[in-house]
Amino acid sequence: MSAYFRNIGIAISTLWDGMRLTWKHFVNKKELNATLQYPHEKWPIPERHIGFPEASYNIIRSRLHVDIDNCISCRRCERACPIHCIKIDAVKAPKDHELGQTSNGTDKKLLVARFDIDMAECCWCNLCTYDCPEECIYMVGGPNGKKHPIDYEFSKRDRNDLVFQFATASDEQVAEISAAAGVADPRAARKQRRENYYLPDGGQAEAVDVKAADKADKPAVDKPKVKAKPAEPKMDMSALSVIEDRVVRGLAKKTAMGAVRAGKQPVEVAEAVKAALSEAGKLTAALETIIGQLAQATITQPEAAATEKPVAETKAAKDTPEGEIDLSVLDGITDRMARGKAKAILNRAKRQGGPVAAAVDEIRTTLSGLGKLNSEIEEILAKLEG
Amino acid sequence: MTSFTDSLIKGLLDLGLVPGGSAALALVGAVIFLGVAVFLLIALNALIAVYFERKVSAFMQDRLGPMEAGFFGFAGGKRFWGGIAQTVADALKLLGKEDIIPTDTDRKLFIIAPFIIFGAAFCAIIGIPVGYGLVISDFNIGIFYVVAISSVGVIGIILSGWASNNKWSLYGAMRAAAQIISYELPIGMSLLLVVMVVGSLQFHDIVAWQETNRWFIIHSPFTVIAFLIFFLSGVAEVNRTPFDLPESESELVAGFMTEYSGFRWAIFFLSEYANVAVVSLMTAIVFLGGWLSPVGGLLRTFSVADGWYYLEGPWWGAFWISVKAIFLIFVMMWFRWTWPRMRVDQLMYTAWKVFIPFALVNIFLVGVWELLFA
Amino acid sequence: MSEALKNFGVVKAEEMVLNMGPQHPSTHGVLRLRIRTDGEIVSHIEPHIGYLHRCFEKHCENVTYPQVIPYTDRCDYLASMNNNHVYAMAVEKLMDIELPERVEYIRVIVAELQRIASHLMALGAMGLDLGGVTPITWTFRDRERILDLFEYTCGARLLYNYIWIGGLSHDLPPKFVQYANEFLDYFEKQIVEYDRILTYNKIFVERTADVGVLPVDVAISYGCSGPVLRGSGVNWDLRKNEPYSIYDRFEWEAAVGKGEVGTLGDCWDRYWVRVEEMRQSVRIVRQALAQLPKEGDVHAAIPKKIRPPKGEIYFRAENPKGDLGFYIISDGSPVPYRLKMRSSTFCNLSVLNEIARGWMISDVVAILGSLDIVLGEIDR
Repeated sequence: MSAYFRNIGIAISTLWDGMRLTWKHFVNKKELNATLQYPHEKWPIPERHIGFPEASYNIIRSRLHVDIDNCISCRRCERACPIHCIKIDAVKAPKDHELGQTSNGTDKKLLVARFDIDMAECCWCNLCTYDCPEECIYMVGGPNGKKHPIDYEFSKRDRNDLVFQFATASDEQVAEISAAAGVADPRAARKQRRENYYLPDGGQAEAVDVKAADKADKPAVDKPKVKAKPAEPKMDMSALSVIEDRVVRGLAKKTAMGAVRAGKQPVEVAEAVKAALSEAGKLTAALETIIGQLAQATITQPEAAATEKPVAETKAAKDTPEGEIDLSVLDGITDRMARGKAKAILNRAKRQGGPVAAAVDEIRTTLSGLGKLNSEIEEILAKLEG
Repeated sequence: MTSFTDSLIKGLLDLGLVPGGSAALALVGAVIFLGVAVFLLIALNALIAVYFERKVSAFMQDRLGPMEAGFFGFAGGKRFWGGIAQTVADALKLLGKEDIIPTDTDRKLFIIAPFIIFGAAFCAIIGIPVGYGLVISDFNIGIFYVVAISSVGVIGIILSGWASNNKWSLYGAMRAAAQIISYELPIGMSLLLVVMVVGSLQFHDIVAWQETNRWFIIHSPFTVIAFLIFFLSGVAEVNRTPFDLPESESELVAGFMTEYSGFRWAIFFLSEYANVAVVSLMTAIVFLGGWLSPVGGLLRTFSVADGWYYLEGPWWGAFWISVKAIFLIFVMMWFRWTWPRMRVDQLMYTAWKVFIPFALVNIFLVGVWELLFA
Repeated sequence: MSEALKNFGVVKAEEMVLNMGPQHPSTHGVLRLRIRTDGEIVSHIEPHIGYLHRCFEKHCENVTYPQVIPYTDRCDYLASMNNNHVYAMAVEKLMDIELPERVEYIRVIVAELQRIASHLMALGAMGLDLGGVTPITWTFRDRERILDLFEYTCGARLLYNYIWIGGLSHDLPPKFVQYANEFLDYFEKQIVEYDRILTYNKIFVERTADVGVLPVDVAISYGCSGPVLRGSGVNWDLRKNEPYSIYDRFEWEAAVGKGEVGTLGDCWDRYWVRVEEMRQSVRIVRQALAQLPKEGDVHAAIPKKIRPPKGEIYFRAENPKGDLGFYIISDGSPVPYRLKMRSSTFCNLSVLNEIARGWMISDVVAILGSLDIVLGEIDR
């Protein structure tokens, strides 16, 4: 019985105690209030910069920003990203194209054709910012960022707006450089791919096209490295490839490359490599024999013609290697669906090497089947035939 | 003493507004008019009470509550009245929502259930005076009527739980049935004690008794206990925390109203807050002197001469009873935002092993007290 | 009370299968419980998990060692710092990295603050499960202050990627010690408030005391750890029993349930262990802040190339929710060959059927709250 009453007593006292506490909060609402009335008042962001001395670096992770003028397209950020939300296309500029320097004084050798960051995918881990040698990619936000105002609310109405495009190179510039370097314009390839992707009825042909465009896209990234080389003397380095240690191999190749560029003879090149390796303390007897083989290699001088590729070509001409069909003529079609269809058919014909006339006929029948054929398209198709 | 309805019928007949001077037509007119008035009152009550509840809960939780929706010059933002139109906006949203009746429900019962609950709350309000003579129908068995009619609502809860064809709803309905039937008893017993002392079931008589003697809550030590039992059981009767088992949102999602949305759900909401008002008004009338002025009562005990400062009269009476009821509503909210919820068996324990024995003993002791001191 | 409830089962009715979740207010995420009930009495519970499965382990086989850290953040997202810490320690042990003093101290400070933040969430959510809505807003308010400290430190509020292999991403900001001490002074008073509104509240005690008693042998055989195990009275805290980092330098006691208001190992004990652990964490942080070495480069020990030698390692440490273990096989490449995460809450959840049988649906919610599960870590 006493337990029964004690129970009731404890219940009343503890419940009353809780009520006193909430009453205290109720009457002291002004002091205890924890709400921040967001649009009217904003969160004070702690003032501080991360471990680097650069004051413009900001600790708050709000949005990635790229100072594209300082970017050298080294792609380290792209590799550091755990979820691959950074996408970079770069075109290696030929020797005679000056791209300027970064603020750190590094020569820019690659033109950034595309630097997209999809902030909808970003996981705000900040890993990309640490790897950047030029310190040009960083998180913005917070009042202490000299370059950026408070920016923790970069909300967008459309998901596609969260893809931030930082590359500033103009279409003409990209076209010019890629033409000079003798590679396909990475932007055109991507545009092609996107248009194919958005084709309406999603048939087999489209699926193939996307893949094909993919293939067309990828070499565009790698090509500069291969094709830009004729601009300088070349040497057969395969002798060095047998070196097993990756660090040593890299060092050896780098030194050899530098020596070749400086216009040295094979024997001199081998000497330079030897010196560099012994300086690094990596030189062994086995390595010496390998480097000895290097001295027997020959150096090919660059062909004069390669550097004299005409620069001022029009875009259409550049996109049309001889004997091939020019797709860009079809750009004049205003209807998106019709344009996509027409391009897909023409593209296929192009790949299979079929005659243009047959492809144009096919386009005509397809479009009239869709009810899209009009005088404008007819005109363009006629131009294509002629 | 006349009720609202009586005065209204008389007024209609006197002014010759009823064609042919028929008393029956006048009654119909008065009933329609008062019905609409009570409905509007219930809706207004819910609008204000929800805003009040949200603000009270927010302040107790170190928040601000609704602060953005304003209207008519009360713009939202960093002002005290910032969110004054929040409940209006919520009500409009509820009315504009799609009316969803799930496929496998018992359609007829599903539709009728909210109206039974609402009807019970509506009928209970008819019998409750909010001032001297300010009552729609003054029953001579007023207390009995209100207690009886307000427990009709449980039928609606059970129907809604059953008709929803949802396991959570069924649990909520079963809990509600057990709970409301159990808590009828302590409520009845605490009221019995009052009726025993006063000798009448009419609200006006009870207040009149308190006027000549003293408020029931300070009448004797046992009436204090009766007051606590009555009020806490009332909280259980209207399903509010810590007794909100039928809709316990963290266990049963939303209990018996899980499947309801839009206007039907709004009806549940209206009746919940109407019931809260009914319980508070009843407690105020029976235990806290109803429309009696506390100022006047205090001055009278010190034999101060009568004057305006007594703050008495029919409209002051309405003011005082609202103050008392609002305070009790606040206390209910205070409970809700302080305590956790009970479990079913603990709820039953509280009713059958604590409230009912205490209420029974109370009746006996009050009888003894009356014999000795009255 | 439990016996009385079990006697209800003498009159058996037809059993009903109830699906609790994955969209349910009290399943702490996307957990689905398939409950067989007789009226309100639960006769069997089957937890169905996997609604938040994100292939954490497979992901880790495809990213480099530092890139795993953001993924560990997202496992137990209420205790990201601790996850980072355990993973970093595992890789460091594999690579044999010696850490600067300052790094160790900062790691302990942030880990213990994170432990407080995680327990605050557990407390508030348990109150919410039992119908008390107010405590969670208060605990969130205080948790927010810890998150502010973290934001001040590393710029992120929830998923930090702060503790790196061999160091930290940033050093502590200049005024951190001062702010942290201010917070601890403020927070110690708040714990008293939680005791008043929740811990010793009669309704709360009634709802949790004697409910869901977890006997020691069951706890151990199911592999429970953390507050769930200590709530049953087992003094097993890896910070004490297998001291890692620098926990052996501080003066503190492991919180162990005592059965103060009911049976040892009930929901209340598990809850209370968390409250007590917050007090102990405050003690640890205070000592660590006082002893924190003034100088030291937090980047000093970070290896240039993170490429652990061939081999494997299992490392476990005390997370707010229990033992968190990482088993890493390295094939000498910069990418883990295999990474297995031993989740504490997975084991803690598995005990649910064992202890919730015979109780009511309301108690299932209370028991689940006292187990303090995080589906991000269970499903991974």
